[in-house]
Amino acid sequence: MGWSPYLWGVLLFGLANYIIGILYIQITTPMPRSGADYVIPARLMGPFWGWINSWMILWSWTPVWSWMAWVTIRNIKQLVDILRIAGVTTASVPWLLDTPTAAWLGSVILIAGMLIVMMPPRRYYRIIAALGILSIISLLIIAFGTAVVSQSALAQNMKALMGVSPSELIATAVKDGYDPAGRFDMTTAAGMAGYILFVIGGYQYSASISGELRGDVKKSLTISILGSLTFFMIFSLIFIWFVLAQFGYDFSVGWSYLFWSARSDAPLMLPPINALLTTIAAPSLWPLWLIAAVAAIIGVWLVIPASMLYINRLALAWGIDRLTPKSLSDVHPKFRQPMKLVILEGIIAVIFYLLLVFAPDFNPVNYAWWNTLMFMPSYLFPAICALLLPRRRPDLLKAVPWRSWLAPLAVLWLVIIVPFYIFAGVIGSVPPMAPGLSVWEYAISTGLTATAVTIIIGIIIYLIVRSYNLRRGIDFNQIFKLIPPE
Amino acid sequence: MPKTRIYYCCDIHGSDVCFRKALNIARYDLYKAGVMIVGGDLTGKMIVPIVNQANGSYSCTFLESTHILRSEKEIAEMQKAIADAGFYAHIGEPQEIEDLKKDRQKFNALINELIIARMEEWMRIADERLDSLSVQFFMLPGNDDNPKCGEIINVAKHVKNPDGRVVNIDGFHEMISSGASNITPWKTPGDYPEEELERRLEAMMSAVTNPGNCILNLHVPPYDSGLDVAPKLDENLKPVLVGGEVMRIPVGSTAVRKMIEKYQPKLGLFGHIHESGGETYIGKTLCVNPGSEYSEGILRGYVVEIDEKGVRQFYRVEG
Repeated sequence: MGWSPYLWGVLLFGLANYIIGILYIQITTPMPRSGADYVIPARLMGPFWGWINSWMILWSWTPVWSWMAWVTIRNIKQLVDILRIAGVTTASVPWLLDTPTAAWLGSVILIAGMLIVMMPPRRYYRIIAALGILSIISLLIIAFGTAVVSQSALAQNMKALMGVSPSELIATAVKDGYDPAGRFDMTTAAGMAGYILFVIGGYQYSASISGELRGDVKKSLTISILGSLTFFMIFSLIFIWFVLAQFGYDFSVGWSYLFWSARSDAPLMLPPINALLTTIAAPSLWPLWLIAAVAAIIGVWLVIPASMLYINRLALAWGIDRLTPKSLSDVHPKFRQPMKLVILEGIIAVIFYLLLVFAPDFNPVNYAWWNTLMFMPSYLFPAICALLLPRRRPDLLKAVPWRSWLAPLAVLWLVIIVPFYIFAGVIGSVPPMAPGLSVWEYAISTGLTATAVTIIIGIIIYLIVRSYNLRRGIDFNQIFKLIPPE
Repeated sequence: MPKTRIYYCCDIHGSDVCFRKALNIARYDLYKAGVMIVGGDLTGKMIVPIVNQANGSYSCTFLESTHILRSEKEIAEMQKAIADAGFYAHIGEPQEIEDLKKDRQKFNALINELIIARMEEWMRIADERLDSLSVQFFMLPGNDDNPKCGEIINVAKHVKNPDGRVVNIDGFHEMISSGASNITPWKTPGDYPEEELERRLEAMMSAVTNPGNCILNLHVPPYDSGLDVAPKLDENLKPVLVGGEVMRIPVGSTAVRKMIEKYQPKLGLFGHIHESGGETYIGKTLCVNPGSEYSEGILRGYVVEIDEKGVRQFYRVEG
């Protein structure tokens, strides 16, 4: 197997991610604030844009928590399956995925995430760091372990253990629309969009807690953003190389296709990056895969407390600027966390999760337009802020790292991301209107109406709060406007 | 009684741009505040030398970069950037700069001279810009400030120094002010033991007619209020690390906390700990610390509106 298009994709989009990573460092360093994805656009573009950007980020992330709980349950089942394949137990736990069990177990998983966010920041960061290291161990074991397993062993064991052979899986994927020619097509590009988004999620988290960084903010952000990107990119290249080489391109990408396009034929309903795959290919090494499986459970679950903290810092910044009731953002004197916001997050997470389990049609994350539109500001706003910073806040310019690169990098990012977003995020992800479907039916069935209604609700809330505050003598526009310096 | 709107900022530490911004808030009536309070610390701590080179140019190392200045315009721009960041530019010959580095006495004499010159310049600008405005403009020296700063403010026409006094700001609310602090690791001119601080505060409070209506403008925040969290330092003034992380502890004043708990004033305005900005309630008392980013030229503050019933609203501003 040679250097596949998928590896090119990882390399090229990994390199492109350095641009947005550097932009995040540049716009956050002179203004390190908790809730940066609200605070920075608010200061540079105006409070309305800060609000609408963070409002959309809020609704792009909150349904993701339910999905993470859903994957965590499958990872727990995977752990038991590994023990069964290894002969340690004969127990089978398909009931874990049954509706009633999945409902309460997923809720417990989400509440556990919420409890972590309630801890004092210092303890929270320690826990997140320790668990993060565990999940990296999982990735490393799987990546390098994949190098020692063989395609023939996989083919031999898979049918017996999973009920489907690699060739049957590829045939299902092809039947569902996967193109086995291995071209760099819409599917690959959409996958890459997910990759970029995953990394940007990390940037958002780093930027959002920048107000809590102490000492050299630029150094801390550079290490966390560019360091993690470099690790992630090198790791992805090695890992994807091994996976494609050991398991075959069509098998790996076909499985991935089934998973990302939410086909129920995807084994375990998990992506092919899992310890079960290596267990099937090399059952005798099961203790190694078991460690990886435990770390994978933690790694996926970790996204819940990490993104909950990210979102509550946005809401905390709203409260400080009086966009939401002050009392909602009160910081608990002992735990130093905005407890009411954290509890609210927990409630929203459980509601979305129960919707996912009992009424998936009502979970917005299942709709293409929702994901495409709600995540859009995440891609565009950092570059727009970078372009506006010299004009709107010239006083901050001297603190911008590598400032002569600020505008060129912002323009370069927009030149890359706008066509890519249209190509992969819209054309590649959103289904075209089927014949016979009215515009209204299409809008409802693809999540366009839900997205529009959510954005309009955000705008209405802003207008009401603005008018209420103006009556009380608080003008949002004056809260952080540049005061004439001379 | 009508509502009284207060704008409060602090810890500008010699930043020329922050001071000018504070004046412009009053000049352009940006926050509609009738009372403006610039809390301590007012002065900077560092001299940035601009060294005369043999070839007629000047060299200056500022914010980790070395600049070669070849014209008067470039020198003026550098002096402005240094002043805006809260430092004091000093043009000198290489030998003089070397002497300053070695001789602490000479350094202290020079920095005090520069501090006083800037304070006098600030008061001149303030008197010019505040003339004909109805705003009350208070400036309170902090524990870091040379005692002469208070004397300079005292002779200004339109700026009042409230330090150690009870001031009635609107005919209803009295404000007591003190730039003193509990003992800091740096042993600054305004550091006092907690007992002495308590004695001074009690003396001021005893002169207040209605403590429940009072405003405490005290620079040092109350102990363990969340507005006073700072790195723990060892005997060499280096941060103490625990598990690779800087250990943070409350460093506020127990005397200030005692005053708040005992008298439950309406409002407490604090500063001192730049990285611990925020707002909290101790009992009925709203306590705020805007924090400070003076070196970035960002002026952080709070707008608080009060009337006879209490604090009507408050919010953080920055610009």
